Amino acid sequence: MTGGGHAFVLLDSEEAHTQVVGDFVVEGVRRGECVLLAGLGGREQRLWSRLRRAGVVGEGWQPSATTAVRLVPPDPDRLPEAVAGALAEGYPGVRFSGAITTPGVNAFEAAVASLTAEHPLTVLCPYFRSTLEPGQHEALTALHDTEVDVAPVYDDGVFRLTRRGELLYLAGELDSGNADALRAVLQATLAAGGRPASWDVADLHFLDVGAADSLVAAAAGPPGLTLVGASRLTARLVRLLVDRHPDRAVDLVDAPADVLLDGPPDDAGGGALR
Amino acid sequence: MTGTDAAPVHRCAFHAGREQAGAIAADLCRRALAAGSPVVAHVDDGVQALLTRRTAGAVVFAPQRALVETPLPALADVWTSHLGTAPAGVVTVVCQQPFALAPDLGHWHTAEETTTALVAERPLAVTCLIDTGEGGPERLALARATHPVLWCDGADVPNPDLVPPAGPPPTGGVLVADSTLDPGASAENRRWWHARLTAAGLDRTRREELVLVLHEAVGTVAALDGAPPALRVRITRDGTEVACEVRCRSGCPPLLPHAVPGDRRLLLLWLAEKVSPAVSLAVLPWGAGSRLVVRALDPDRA
Repeated sequence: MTGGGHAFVLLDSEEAHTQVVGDFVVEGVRRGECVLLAGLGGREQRLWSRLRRAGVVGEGWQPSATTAVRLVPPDPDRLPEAVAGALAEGYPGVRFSGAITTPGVNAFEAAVASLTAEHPLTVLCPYFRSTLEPGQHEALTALHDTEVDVAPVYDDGVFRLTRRGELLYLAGELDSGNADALRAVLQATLAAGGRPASWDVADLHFLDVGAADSLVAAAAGPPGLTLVGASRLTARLVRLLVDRHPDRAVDLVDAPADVLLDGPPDDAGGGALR
Repeated sequence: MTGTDAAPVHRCAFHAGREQAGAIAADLCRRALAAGSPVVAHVDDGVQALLTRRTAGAVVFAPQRALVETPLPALADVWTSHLGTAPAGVVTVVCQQPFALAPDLGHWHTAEETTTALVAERPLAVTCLIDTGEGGPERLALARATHPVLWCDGADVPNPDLVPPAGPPPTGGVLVADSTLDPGASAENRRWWHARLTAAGLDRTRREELVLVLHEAVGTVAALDGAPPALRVRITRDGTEVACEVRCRSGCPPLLPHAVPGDRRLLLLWLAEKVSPAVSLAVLPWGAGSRLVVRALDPDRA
């Protein structure tokens, strides 16, 4: 999502929530905006880990009233004050999201509808598909500017595979017992039509030896495989497997690094992270 | 050792008198040398003379008193240093314990259990020659209780009288968790390990390394035990070191740092330890089975 607007997204798993809301937060931070989050309901640590893997916060980071990413009370009446406060601090824009897990249209919808009209506010309403009531999808479509399409290639709640252009995004946990997930990655890779495969694994927080061996064996022969953002453990595992098979080639590429800062932006140019 | 092969083992060879000790030792040494295994012998003068004649001087002799005076881990390192590029991949060690130098049987009980643990971690085939005519029934009972394998009529047999090491808890330290896991619920198991290891004070990096090895250990044991519905696991903490163990009823072959396992399931576990520098893995005896002990090492020692 770009600046401004009121969108909703339908999620099929917790991994999807972490990835989609995480991306929304990361994009906002990179734009120099203040991100307000409400009603995460115990999803905080998963989300902070996602922000850490994206490089926008450091190890052990926690939100506060002065950080660029903030928790706000799950009270629609207090949101205008939080938005106005962030803008008064010098942020060029504000983002708002959370997690909507109760049936029906969320109480924040009415509050953000007027706020987005009056302020540089970007809102993403993440609904879990399993909680939708009959006819609610249509109601949400009418209520929002857009629906964000985050349909995965594969998502079983533990492992999630998505594609953006040439890049496959592997998120969650992948082990050799999950044959369906392994098959999904290989099929999506083969669908690239012989072009070198590129997988973003920055959000892959567990990969076992058997799964790594299967994937590297299948994808690392010609035309080659590039892994983006592998954790140190995943990188060591892949290197070990590649070293045992000289015919395999895997390029390990770091995810883009960011700079951590501690205050409101000096100007409205964005890109500063807090 | 069933003939010409050489594999890590801690065995007891009962004998009656010096002449039979020499014959058994010579048989073991010849087989080991034929398999390409270096041989170190801590034996008395009589057995040494016999071995010298029958093995053409190929055995390295060491003093019996070293079995008492040298800490066993250090002695095991000395034994292992003989390995070099030996084709058998195992150093054969023959011992006659100098009971006269340490009359307290408690000392030898600890020494035998320590040797069993060392053999699980090092490429060593250790044979203890025990004379049935010396030392009384307590000494024989000790030998029967502490050696996983017996040498009988020229072949190894599992020791039915082996008594697993007693005392809480087997891995030492403070018990953090003692539970059973469904090996088929791998994602839930990983969350369980993470939660307990967090409670044990491990940081994220050490937890992730440990959980990878534990995940593979559970998978390996499940395969060895024939997909049981539950596996017993324990976590203990001793200072900054955390030890986790997965129990295997059917026994797990030893995993040696230098020997790539041929079995794929064992290979996955062996590789998991290789990518986790702050983690050590040992296969230790547990009754008729094994304990896979996975340790998150003290960060200052890792």
